[in-house]
Amino acid sequence: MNTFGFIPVSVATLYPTDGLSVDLYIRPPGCDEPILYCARTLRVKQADLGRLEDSGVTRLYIRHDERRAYQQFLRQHLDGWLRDPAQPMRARAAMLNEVVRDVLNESFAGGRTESIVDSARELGQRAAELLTSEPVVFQDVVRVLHHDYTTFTHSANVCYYAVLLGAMLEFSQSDLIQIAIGALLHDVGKIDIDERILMKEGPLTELERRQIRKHPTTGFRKLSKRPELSQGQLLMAYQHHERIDGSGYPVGAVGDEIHPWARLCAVVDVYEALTSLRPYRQPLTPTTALSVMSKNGDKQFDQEMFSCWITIATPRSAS
Amino acid sequence: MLDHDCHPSFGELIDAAPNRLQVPATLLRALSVAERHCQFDQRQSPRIPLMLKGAADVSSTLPAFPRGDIRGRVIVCDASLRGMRFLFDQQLWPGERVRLLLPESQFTGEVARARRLQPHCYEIGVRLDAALSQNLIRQFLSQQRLP
Repeated sequence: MNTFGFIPVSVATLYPTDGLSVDLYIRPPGCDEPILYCARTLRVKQADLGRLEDSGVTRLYIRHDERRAYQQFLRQHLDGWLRDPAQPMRARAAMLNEVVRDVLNESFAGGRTESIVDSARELGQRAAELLTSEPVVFQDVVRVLHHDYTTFTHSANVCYYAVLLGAMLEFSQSDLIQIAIGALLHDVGKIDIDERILMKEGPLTELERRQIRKHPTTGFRKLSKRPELSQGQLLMAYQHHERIDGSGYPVGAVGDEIHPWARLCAVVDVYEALTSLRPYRQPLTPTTALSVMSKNGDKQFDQEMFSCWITIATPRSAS
Repeated sequence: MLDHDCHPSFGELIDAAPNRLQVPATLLRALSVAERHCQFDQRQSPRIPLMLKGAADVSSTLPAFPRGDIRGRVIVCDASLRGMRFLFDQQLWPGERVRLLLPESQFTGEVARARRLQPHCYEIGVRLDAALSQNLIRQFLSQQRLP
């Protein structure tokens, strides 16, 4: 999100400080506008970043016009970092997430399905490999994610959640890579929906609701001509709003008529939507989101998948 | 000639098409009530309830769903100026190309939606490439018979 000409960046992405030439800003509590934290001429120390994180500051800010330089810095370090076991998982996940969001943002804004699919294939594989390379603490991953209501942020988060859930359900590594790619693409049909509808603060009209409800079919049709995508990936786009009890859309499929990957996507898609900022409400806490999902969860979601997700996403202190 | 060419010998092709469709009489009766699926109806022109025997040729158009070309019997449940709803024995997917043969006419179109009603019975909605004429719809109504 752009806050007064600034964009937030995860503190965890700043640890390899060599080559980062942007000014870093911080937004103290109560301040509307970020203030300078560390000028580009000074090298931010790892100890400083650690202190920030320890005190609960997980985001710094950069000026919007320096976004390109920041992204260049991330992409330059990405491969090395992802393969470096000495780096904490949180930092690697943060760096990958920033790159994923930026690439998806550009691809979605371009509106070309080919470009979106190519980006998703590259980044989905990296996400699946990273999140299965060692045991992952869910809250560590959540800490580095953004929770705004843009489609690319949502798609990125759904991708990570889907991999974590799929791994717990013991899907194979090759399946997890495909699931990650499918999750990045599951909402591709939304690029045809007017932004004013997606960002609307008030209740949707019947016509607007119909537009929204077309996105699974639109997404399926966009992806269906691509030979490198599998049935499961297409059905993640087509069936992620279907519900086990037939109450979903676009066709009201029930039970195992819904592809397992789409059933998995449905669980994490709803959770991600509830825990993210929306134009019409604040994000719900994880506990509240799981509670909301539980009300109809036994009817609407695959029971095994939903139970596993509760195990993964329940805050440790509350479990 | 238009897509919906009229041809007297389509009846033979329809009779020769494999009949794997399984539609219990109770389901058929329920489907004949057009309002049953009004919740999904977003057509600009009203749908006319029909009950016609026909056949469908489905060509393999989606790489992720590889299969040979399929021919099978269908029951056309209704039609509007731009679309048709029919029962088929297999799951089809949005974007797949279909040629529908009715006793005296044929149409081409693209699958818009499909859902399973029971084993070997799927409800398929097709968006037609060319609009039907009022005359043709009147002709359907005069031909109408339970398969």
